[in-house]
Amino acid sequence: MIYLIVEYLIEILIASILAGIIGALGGLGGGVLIVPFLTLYFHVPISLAIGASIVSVIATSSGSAAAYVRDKISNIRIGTFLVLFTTTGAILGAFIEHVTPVKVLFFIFGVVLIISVIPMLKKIGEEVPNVEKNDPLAEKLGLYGEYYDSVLKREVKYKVTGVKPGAAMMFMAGTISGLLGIGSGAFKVLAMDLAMRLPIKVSTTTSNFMIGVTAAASAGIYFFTGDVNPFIAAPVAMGVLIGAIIGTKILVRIRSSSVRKIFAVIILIVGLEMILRGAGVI
Amino acid sequence: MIDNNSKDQKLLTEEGISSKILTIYLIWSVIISLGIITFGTILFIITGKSGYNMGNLNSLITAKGSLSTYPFYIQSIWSGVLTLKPFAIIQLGVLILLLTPFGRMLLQFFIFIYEKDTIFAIIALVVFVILMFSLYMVNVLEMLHIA
Repeated sequence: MIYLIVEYLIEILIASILAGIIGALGGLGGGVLIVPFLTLYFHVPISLAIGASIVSVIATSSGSAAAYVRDKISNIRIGTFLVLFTTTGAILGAFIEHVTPVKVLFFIFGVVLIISVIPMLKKIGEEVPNVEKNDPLAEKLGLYGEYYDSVLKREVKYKVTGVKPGAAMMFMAGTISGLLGIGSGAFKVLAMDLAMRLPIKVSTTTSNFMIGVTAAASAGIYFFTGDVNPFIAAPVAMGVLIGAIIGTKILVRIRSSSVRKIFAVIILIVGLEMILRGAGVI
Repeated sequence: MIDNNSKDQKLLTEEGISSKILTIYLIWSVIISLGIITFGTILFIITGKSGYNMGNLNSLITAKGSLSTYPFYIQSIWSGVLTLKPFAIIQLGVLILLLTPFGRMLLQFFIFIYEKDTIFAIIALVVFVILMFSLYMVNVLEMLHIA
């Protein structure tokens, strides 16, 4: 029997490495595919899949945040201010997860997967947004900043607007993260891009700082209610981290957007499968 | 002008130190926690025992935490680690991993204090309190008999 168990462990490890690679190439983080993989193909109960996934999100986020801290592009002040809202949302999300029927969870997961494909296909924030005036709150907290853009070859100074709608969107991104056990980086970037009009490089690196702290707010709840099963969480945490490292290395070499489109299609299919499972069709 | 420059210079080196501390903290917490998780997993594969009741494969992948399946409280994890139970060792690594951002916020709090940024020191502290509050939510769920 132990052979069967070890074989299963290795299969989860390989699937997690794949999820990590695809996540990194799609710019989504590995968590987003782990729960569908575990539930659809490995028959793991969805709460245990979410518990394992949220742990892997912390591993990848801490691992890559270490690289981002040094680059000075991420805005720690914005990040620290906004995690106030994402962590509060994450606690609410983990609470909702514990009272939501399994089928509804599948359905919500599928819908969120499909929505998160949108920013992958539509390239957002190509240019540096032109914000005339700081939001009064941004002025008071000193959220504006500057960074050196290696492509434009100049210092980019930016102002920050829409702090309140941005904070509201962050609360929602946090709720989704806590509810589904994903980093919800796509939603955090969208909030900073659409509401607060931050340069895309600042949004993506700052979002990375926020993902780990947000995930910790719900991971504690999943762990201490017994939803983090070591037999599943161990290969998932190791696999996603390995996959993310490989994915980031590949990403430096290939810059074609057609690759992103292939992965967008994969995520769309998985999203549809989750919705069908939620509807009880499969 | 000269004063401004030296002030900027000073700020830059201070930022350099704090980001170095954060980077070292993050890298090592990932290495240590994943190292412990890997050790526990290898021990599980070699011995073929989790240290708890495993049942068949299906019960292994559907088990929620309990006294018989795997530990999820600090005391039970620790007593399992002392007797080298593989699943308890994995849980220790997972616990260290998930507490990393807690420590990171606390570190950020001290960095803001060091940079004399009072407002953001308070914000970082509030985030830390929110994270601690999340652990209290476990009791709320248990009281409601949901967990």
